[in-house]
Amino acid sequence: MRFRERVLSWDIIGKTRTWFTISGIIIALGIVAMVVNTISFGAPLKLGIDFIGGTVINASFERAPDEAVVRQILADNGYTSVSVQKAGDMGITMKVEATEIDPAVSGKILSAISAKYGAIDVATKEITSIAPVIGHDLLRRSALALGLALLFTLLYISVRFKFSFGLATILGMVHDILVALGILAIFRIPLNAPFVGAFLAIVTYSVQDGVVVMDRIREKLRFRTKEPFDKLANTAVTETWVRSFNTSFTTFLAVFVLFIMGGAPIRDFSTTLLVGVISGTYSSIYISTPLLVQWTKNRDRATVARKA
Amino acid sequence: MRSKVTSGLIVVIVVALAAGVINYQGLVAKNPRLAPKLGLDLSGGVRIVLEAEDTATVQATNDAIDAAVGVIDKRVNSLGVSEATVVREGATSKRIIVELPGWEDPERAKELIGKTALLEFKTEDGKVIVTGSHLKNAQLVFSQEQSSLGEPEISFELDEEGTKAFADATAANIGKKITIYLDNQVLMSPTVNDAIADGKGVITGGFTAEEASNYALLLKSGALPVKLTPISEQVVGPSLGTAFVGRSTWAAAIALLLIVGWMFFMYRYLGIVSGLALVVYADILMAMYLLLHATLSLPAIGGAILSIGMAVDANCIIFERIREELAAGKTARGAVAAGFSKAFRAVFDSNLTVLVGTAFLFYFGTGTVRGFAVTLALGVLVSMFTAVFASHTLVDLLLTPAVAKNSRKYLG
Repeated sequence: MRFRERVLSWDIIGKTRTWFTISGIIIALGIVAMVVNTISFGAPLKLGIDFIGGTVINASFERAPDEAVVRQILADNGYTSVSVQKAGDMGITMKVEATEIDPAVSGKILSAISAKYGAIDVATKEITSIAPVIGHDLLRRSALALGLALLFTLLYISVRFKFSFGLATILGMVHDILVALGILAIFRIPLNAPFVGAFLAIVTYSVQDGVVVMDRIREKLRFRTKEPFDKLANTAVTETWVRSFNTSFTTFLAVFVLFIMGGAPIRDFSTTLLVGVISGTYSSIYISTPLLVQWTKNRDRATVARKA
Repeated sequence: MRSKVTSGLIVVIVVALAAGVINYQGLVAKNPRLAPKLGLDLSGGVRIVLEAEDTATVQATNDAIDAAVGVIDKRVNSLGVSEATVVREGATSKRIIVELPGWEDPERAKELIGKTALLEFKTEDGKVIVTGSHLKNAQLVFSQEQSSLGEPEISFELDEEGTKAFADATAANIGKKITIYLDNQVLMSPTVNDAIADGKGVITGGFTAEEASNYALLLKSGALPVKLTPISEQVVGPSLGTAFVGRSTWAAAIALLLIVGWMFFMYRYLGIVSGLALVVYADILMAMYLLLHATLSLPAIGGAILSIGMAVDANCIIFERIREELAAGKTARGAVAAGFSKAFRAVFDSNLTVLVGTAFLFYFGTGTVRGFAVTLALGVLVSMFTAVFASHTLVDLLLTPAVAKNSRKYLG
């Protein structure tokens, strides 16, 4: 196939500045969005009730409930700062953030709505009530788990490869996390518990992709002649490019089908995964490896300077 | 060479068939021991998180919380909820998670789960004679007395130690009152007429039949050794999950087809091998879930789909390597052998890195994170078998002299 030969002639490392600029712009946009969000909404990301606590009640009735009437019923029970939205044909979603609705009251609210709009459809009834403390805890523990997983990945790669390899891979992961957070901030997608899973997936994917490229560089180093490191790294990256693309593309296919067919409950989750798969592949080729090349160059230069 | 291929093929076929039988039993024949375990987000039901609190009298110690888990477990089991789970959030956590699949009423669930149900018999001067921990049995009965005929009551029976203490106390308090408290509320205050030696008695307290039956159940399962407060509850309707499970099954099938199509386009014959390996992969992975009773929830399905991508990855790495070796002028047989052995390091390292990561996620994470970690780790392990071992066997099998001669045409 002609395409493969063309890939081998690409100068990926030579265009390092281009790749860093592209990523820089995307991450900067995300940071701007987070700043704007913080100014206008008080938080960089839109956190769902899984993290900030609160209550969501979801239910369908025989007739479609009117939003204003439902809002009034909630107000009668003392909940004024709420969001009420139609859900499906006969359904309604009520959301109170950071405050829990007493379960006994939620029962009262539902029967008040049911008195006006007919019997409640039990199959669709959902009540989620989460104490703010548990949400903070989830966030803290997930971050801790993620941080430790990162640390030990770094340790493992440092042992199997070299510290600089590990650091380059980890920075690639940080890149992916920033990109994903940026996208979440730009589109104001609410963050809920399943996102922890999506994030972990992104991170794992990023590492897995990065290690394969690093492995090729390691192999090339073993048979190194007088070739400069940047040329060697470029060969390694172009040789593994097709594999990286194929893997990402097949994973992309799987996640994309989930995105299309999974429906609303999983749409935000699969969006995050899609971003992660693309960003994870991109970073292992265009961010981690160029970073590694930069360090090695600087170190070589320092060694030369010391000798002189 | 051939004999190695044959034995490899036998291993692959036996494993795939065994997995197939497990899947058939679990998914089609609905064998209850192998039924898929759906997370609450898919099956619908009630999930309550309780937190243990220190009170003036009782400390929420480790042992007390473990004991509370046991008590709640007894209570929900006597409710007849199948597949109910009661677990501590973590080994040192003060939280207990109760999941009742298929349950719809969080009120009644909380009433039965959160009640301390501390039964105490006290003398007039406030001395505790016996507590509920000495109960051998408690049940709902209806009064036979003329004055209160048909009223619901709780009959109880004390164990040996309780009977003795009760006998001594009643003998010493004839003509005085003994008060029965439940959760520090007075239930009744009868006057002792005679010493009660058989440890049997009846509690009346103006109960409804349902209350009496609830209390009997609570008393029988024992008092909660610690105060528990519900801090989170979820009611999930069953419709969301059923629709999602159906859709995601289709999604998985379509994704599989698309992936196989792409792999065939890229790698020809080798692509077919990876397609077969992927089918075997899905087969074994599903069987593993069923065997291990892994809970399938939204994040877990996310992990599973991701692991499909990773399973293909090992194939991509190996096949790319085979092509490189072919391009370097090796024979088809030599290229395949070199491709598998040289690619193995990359596959091994990338998968092991992921496993190291999942181990930490599992150890430090909570429910959601753990489900993800388990399915991902399983996926990685199974893919090592299918993408490396099974694929190698299949490629060798395909490598007939005709194919070997036309390696460019068949191997892409």
